[in-house]
Amino acid sequence: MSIIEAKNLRKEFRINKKKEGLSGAIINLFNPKYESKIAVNDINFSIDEGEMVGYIGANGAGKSTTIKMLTGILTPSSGEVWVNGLIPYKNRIKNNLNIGVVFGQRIQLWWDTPVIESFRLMHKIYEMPKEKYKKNLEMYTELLDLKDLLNVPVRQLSLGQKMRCEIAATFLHDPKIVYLDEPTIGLDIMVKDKIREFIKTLNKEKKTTVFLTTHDLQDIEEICKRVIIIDNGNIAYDGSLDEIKNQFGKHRIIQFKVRNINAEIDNLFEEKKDTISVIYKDGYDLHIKFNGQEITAAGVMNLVSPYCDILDLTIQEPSIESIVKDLYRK
Amino acid sequence: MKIISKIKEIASMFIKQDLSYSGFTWASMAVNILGIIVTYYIWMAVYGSKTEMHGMSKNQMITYIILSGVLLSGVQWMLNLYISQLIQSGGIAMELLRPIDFQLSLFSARLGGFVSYTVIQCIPVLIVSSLIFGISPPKSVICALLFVISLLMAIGITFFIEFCVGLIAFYTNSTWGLQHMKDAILFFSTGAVIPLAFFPGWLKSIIVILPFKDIVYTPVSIYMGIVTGEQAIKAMFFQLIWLILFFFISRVFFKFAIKKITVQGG
Repeated sequence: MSIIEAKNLRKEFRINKKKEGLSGAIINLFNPKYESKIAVNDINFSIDEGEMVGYIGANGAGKSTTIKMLTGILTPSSGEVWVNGLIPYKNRIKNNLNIGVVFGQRIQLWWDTPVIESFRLMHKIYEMPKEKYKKNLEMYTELLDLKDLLNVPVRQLSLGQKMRCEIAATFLHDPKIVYLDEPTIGLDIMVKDKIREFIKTLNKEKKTTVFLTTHDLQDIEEICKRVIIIDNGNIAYDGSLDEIKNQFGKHRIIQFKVRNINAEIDNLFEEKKDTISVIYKDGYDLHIKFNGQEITAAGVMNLVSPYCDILDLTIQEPSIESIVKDLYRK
Repeated sequence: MKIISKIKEIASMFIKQDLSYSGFTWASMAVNILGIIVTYYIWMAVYGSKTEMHGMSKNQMITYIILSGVLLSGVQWMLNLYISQLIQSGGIAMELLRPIDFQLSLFSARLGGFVSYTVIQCIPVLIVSSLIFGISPPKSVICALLFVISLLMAIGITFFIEFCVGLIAFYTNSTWGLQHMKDAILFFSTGAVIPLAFFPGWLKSIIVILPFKDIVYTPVSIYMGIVTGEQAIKAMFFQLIWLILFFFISRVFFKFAIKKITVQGG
């Protein structure tokens, strides 16, 4: 049974279009011009209970707007949305009891008091039974290694420590659904790992549905089986992660540092353009794009090395942005 | 009952927050006491050799001024500033995700703020100033009781006024100017600096109609027995009407303002 359901969900914003310069500012004062911008354009998806879905797209693609509509803090311009049988923007406060939200750039803990005080408050305002609170607190403290942090005021925590506490607070009341909006932004690899493990464990043990947006492909790879890609307010892809990687993530780029480059290299790959091609060449730099399924990185090196002296190289993993770009070009 | 425990918990969170800044606590206590000393000498100079002005004795005046000064800073809470900060920083989104009504949650916080103010500011300041200058106790036990009720209503009225001023930030993004206007109006027309009896007739008749006098003047004059009996009940009745009125205004305004956020994205 689906726990999140979006039907033709749409959000338009009215944006004040300002003219340039001082005279523009004055004109704007008396005769403001508005134009509407479609942030989310009639999207449809449904998510089952216990699923972990990665919701990805470039900056400004409409990710946060979608999350805000799903959580009820934005009213859709048109279309319908149900979360756990409720319409979030009509039943916001009731819906809030069932969900947990992390905005990676914001903090829901109370700033000046020790972390444990925030947890205590959560326990009360989410109407949790005492035993459940104690049990969860114990479990999360263990999983996220919070023991030494509980009595420290939030403002004295480092970003990683804060985020671990924040994640614990979000899951504390056993929400049915958790929305994570870039939860690992700015964190080091250790903390990221811990948070990913935690999310996976909770999903397994409590069947928590997870809706995750991120720019970190690793997050998606480790957590999500399903991916929804949004681009310019439209859903560009909705399906399994494996498939998308096969389909769109096969192109990788090697950036060479070279010397004594032979001009013939331009024509070298003319016949097999789809497999391998030069995408950038300038002085010491040579960037080669290749299809990872048909040729290995070593193979590319062998092909290139007769035409120049390779000084150094880096291999670029396919990023979400490049996948999205690829996808949209099709 | 769940709602009560939520209110209690949020209130105590804010008490803890207030107590976590001990330097600030001491500093504002010092400022309050200093302010009282200054007003004390100003009024001493005003009275000069007179023992009574506009029906108030020197000692009554001292009580009035100290009490109303402490009260005015106690009932105000900078709520409007808090709300406009939430809007500017986008923190409002986090607030709307809590499983409790935004206004109720703020009101709970406000109650906590008042309790901590009373304990760490009001009571020490009152003790110190009654030792130095001498403050009269409430006229009678009934006066004291009515005073407490009237004070609670004053807190409510101020809360709803500040809440409405804060909501304006939903439209303008900042309430800096309004904040100062509100402060000026409250400072003057609550009767906190100058008792209503000292105002010229025409100004007095305007202020009497306005709700602001119910924030300071009404509770203090009940405490001191300036108004008693039927008059006191009547004054409190009007306070109650203002309270209910501002409650409804703030609710309706909130409904509209929240739409602005949820429909236009702030």
